[in-house]
Amino acid sequence: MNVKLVKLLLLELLERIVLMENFLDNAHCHAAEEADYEVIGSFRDFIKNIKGEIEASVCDMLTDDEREIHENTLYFCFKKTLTLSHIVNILHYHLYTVPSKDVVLSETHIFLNNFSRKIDYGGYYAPVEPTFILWNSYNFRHLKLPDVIISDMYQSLLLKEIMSYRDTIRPTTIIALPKIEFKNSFRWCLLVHELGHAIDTKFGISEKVSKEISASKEDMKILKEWTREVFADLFALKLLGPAYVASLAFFSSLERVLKPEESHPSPNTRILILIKELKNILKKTPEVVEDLINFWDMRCEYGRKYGLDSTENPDIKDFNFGNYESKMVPMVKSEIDRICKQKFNKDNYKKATELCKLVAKGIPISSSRDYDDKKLMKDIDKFKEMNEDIKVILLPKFNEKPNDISEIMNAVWIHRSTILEEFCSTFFENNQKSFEEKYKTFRDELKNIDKITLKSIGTADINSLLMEKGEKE
Amino acid sequence: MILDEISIMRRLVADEKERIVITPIIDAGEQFGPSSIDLRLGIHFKVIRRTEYAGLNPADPKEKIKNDIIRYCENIDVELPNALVLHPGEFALSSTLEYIKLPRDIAARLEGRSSWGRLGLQIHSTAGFVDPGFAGTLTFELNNVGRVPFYIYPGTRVAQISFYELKEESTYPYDIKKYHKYQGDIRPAFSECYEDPEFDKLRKMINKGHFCSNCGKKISAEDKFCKHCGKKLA
Repeated sequence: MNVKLVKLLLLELLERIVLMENFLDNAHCHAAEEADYEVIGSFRDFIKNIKGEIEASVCDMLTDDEREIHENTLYFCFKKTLTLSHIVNILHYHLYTVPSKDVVLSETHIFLNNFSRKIDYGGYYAPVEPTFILWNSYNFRHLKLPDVIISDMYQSLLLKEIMSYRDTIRPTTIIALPKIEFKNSFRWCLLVHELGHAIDTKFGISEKVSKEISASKEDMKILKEWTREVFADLFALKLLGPAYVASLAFFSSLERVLKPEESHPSPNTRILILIKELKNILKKTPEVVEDLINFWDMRCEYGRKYGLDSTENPDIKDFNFGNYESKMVPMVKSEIDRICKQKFNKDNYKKATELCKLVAKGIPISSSRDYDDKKLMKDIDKFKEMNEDIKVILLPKFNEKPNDISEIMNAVWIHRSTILEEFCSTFFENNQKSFEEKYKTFRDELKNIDKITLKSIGTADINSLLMEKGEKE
Repeated sequence: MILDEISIMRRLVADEKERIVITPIIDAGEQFGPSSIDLRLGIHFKVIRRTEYAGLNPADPKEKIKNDIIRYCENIDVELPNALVLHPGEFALSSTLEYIKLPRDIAARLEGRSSWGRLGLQIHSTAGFVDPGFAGTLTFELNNVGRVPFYIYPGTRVAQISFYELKEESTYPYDIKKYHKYQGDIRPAFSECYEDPEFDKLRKMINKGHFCSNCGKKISAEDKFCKHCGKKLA
C-alpha cells in the first residue's frame, strides 16, 4: 500500500469537506423557519463528526515516518478514507435541500462562453449559450420550452395549439453544476465536458459517428451513449488541455473508477483515452502530467487489488468496447478538429507553467506582460539618459496581453498540484499544530486559489474586449 | 514622498518585496499620469434594496447584520457592452477591475478622475486611503450627486491611484493587522463595521439579557427556538 496515495485521497476528502463547510457558512434562510435551521444544523453535525473521525482514526496514524507505518495500518486508513468519502458523497448529494441564496456567478458564464466562442459554427448555427442551474451534479439537458413548462403533472394543459408550435421553438441548452461548487472554479473544467454535449447535440456528431460504425443492435444503444461521452471528453481536452484530465481524475471517486455504466464508460477507460491524446498534444510529457498519470495508475491498481471492480453491471456485461474503440476515437477526433477553431497546444502549456509562478505569489493572471522584468528595469534606467517620448519608448512595454482561459486553468492546476504535494507532508507532520489549525490553513489556501482563479476568469473577457477595441482603433 | 511615473514603473518591475502589483494594465499609455495610474471600473456592483431594509445598526448581533446584508444586498454583474444606470442620489458599491498589491513601504490614495467628477460622479466618499500591505481590488463607493442619471460602463477609467513612499517599512502593515477585513477581496465588499471590536463592547452594554443571534429580538433564557424567527437556539 502506498502512503502517498492514502494521503492524497485524504486531502481530496478534506477538500470536499471544505467545500461543504463553505457552502453551509453562506447558507441562508429567507423565511428563517425552524426546519431550515434543523437541516443546516444536522449537516454541520455530520461534518463535525466526519472531521473528528478523520482526525482520530486516520490522521494520527499517518503522522509517523512513512517508512515506519505498518502495511495493516495503511490498509485500515485506506478503507476508512473510502468509507468516509462514501458518506461525504451522500451528504454532498443531499445538500440541495439546504436553503441558500447562491446563484450562478457571472464568471461561470464568462468561462463557458469563452470556450463556446472557440467553435466554428460555420455561419449556420447560433453559438451555444447555455442556461445554468445549480443542482446536485454536473449535467446537460437539451430541452424544448413546452416540455419544461408542461411536465407530466400538467398533462391536462397540453393544448393542441401549443404542441403544434413545439417544434418551431428553439430548444434550450441547460447545464447544471453542483450547488456547492458554484464558486469552486477549478472544477468548472468539467463544465467544458457538458458544453461538449451541447455542441455534439447541435451538430449531431456522435449520432453520425455511431451510425458509421457497424455494431450489433444490442451494442448500438450503449455505443451511442459512450460515443457521446468520448466526444465530450476529447472536446474538453482539446480546448482545455491537461487541466481537464486532472479535474476528471480527482472528481471520479475511487469506488467507481473501474465501473462502467450503460451511460458512461468507466472513468479508467475515459482517462486512458484522454492520457493517450494528451501525450500527442504535449509531445513531451511534463513532470506534473507524469505525476497525474502515476497517481491515476495507483488508484486503479488499488481499486483492482481491493475488489472495487468486483460488481458487474448486467446491462453492459456483454459489451466489449475494445471492438469499437480503435475506429470510434479517431473519427471523433477528426470531427473535433473540424469544428474547433482554437485548440490547446504545447505553447499554451508553456505559458501556463510561467503563469503558475504568479498564481503562487497570489497574483491574478487574466493578463500578463511579455517583457522580462529585469530587462524592463534596465530600459527604465537607460530612458533617464535618453531624451525620448515616454509614451513611445517605455509605456507600451507595460501593456499586458490577455491570457487564454485554458492557460489560466492549467496554471491554477499546476499550482494546486504543488500545494497538494506540500500539504501531503505538512498536514501529516507530527508538530505542535492541532488538526483544526492545519485544516484551517488548508481551507484558507484553497479559498485563496479560488479567489485568484475567479478574479482571473472574471477579468479575462473584459481584457480581451478592451484590447480588441484598442486594436481596431 | 509621492511617486512620479518613473518611480512607479520601477516599482512595477521591482523584486517581490518592493513590488507594486497592478493587473491588468491594458493600455499603459492611456493609464499612466505624471504621478498616478488610472484605474478601471470592474464588472461587479452591489446595491441595497432600501425599500425593504429597515436600517443598519452596527451594535445589532453580528449574525443578524450578516443575514440582513445577504437578504437586502443585490449583486449586479454587468458585462460589456451593457451598463449600470446610476440615478441622481443613488449609491452603489463597485470595485476596481485591477487587482492591487502594495509592498510594506508604500501607501496609496484613490481619487476620482476629474472628467467624471464634473458630471457629478463620486467614486469614494471617505475611504480613499490604502494601507501598506493591502492586496485585492479596491472598493468604489459610487454616488451620483448630479441631477441627471448616467450610464456607467465596466472597463472605463473612473479613478486614479497615487503612491506614497513611507520613510521606513511598516511594521504593522494591512496583511498582518488583526482586523484586516477586506484583504484579498475580489468583489465589492459591503461594510463590515460591525466586526470592529468597539461594537463588541457596545453590544455588551446594550444587550443586557438574552437575544436571538438571527433576528436580534429579545428571548427568554429557557427558549429552545426563537419565537420571532424560529431559529434553533444554542
